[in-house]
Amino acid sequence: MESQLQEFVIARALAHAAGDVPGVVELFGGRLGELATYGRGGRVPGVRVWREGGRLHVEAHIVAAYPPEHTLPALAGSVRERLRELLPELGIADIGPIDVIVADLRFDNPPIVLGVA
Amino acid sequence: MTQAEATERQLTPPVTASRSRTQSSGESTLVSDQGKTTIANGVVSKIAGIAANEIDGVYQLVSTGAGQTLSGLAQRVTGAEARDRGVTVEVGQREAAVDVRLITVYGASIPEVSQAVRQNIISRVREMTGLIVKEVNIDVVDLYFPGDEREPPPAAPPAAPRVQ
Repeated sequence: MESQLQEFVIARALAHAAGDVPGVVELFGGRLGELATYGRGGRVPGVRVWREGGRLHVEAHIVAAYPPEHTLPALAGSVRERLRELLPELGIADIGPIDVIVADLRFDNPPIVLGVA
Repeated sequence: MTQAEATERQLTPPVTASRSRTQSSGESTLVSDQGKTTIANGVVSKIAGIAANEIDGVYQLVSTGAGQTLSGLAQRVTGAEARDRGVTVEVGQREAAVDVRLITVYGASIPEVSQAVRQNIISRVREMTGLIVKEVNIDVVDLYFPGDEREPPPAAPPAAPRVQ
């Protein structure tokens, strides 16, 4: 039987797992915070989850550490693999595409920006 | 082997010159039945900007040809250093074109510096994103003379309040 977990709850789990993949610094919620899944408990920035014809669609926006250990497409592949592994554990069987967007890079020594805070 | 590695972009034969510099404009997208992988343009710009700055003889990258002095000034004042400053990219599915504007150090060979910048951008972008950089256009907008570092101009006095 298909789980009827709320999208928000699924997004919470996916965001946690994606953020744990080595090479992922954080999730990217969009410049205006528009990339998120909303629910009664709040919002999950960087992960969008929706159902289309019963299949679960996922979009994960990540910020990658620079330099990447291998390549950015390989990192995106690891994220996709991790999320695909996790979904059955949430009771979701009908899994659609999992899109991964490398939205930005993060550096160890971020540029110093002075001026107005 | 991950899905992404399995579907790694394949080398395409060089495309003859056409108006659009890359196969399609927009962000780099790899499609598989498992989902798409997209690399944002800003990511490619940052990688290219860092690659250009790694070359000896490059003093700095600047935002626009005409506004070089202004942007340099703004940088001294704010201390800001955007890694993609001076870089414009056009990214297609498999290919990218990169434009950079930079200031070279006087005394360095401009053709040699340009060639090194071009090579480094091509290899860095390729190894990190899998994109093939078809074109790197380099605009040397000024020279920097070592030892000619001027004091930054004094900050403008605070403007008088417009209302009392």
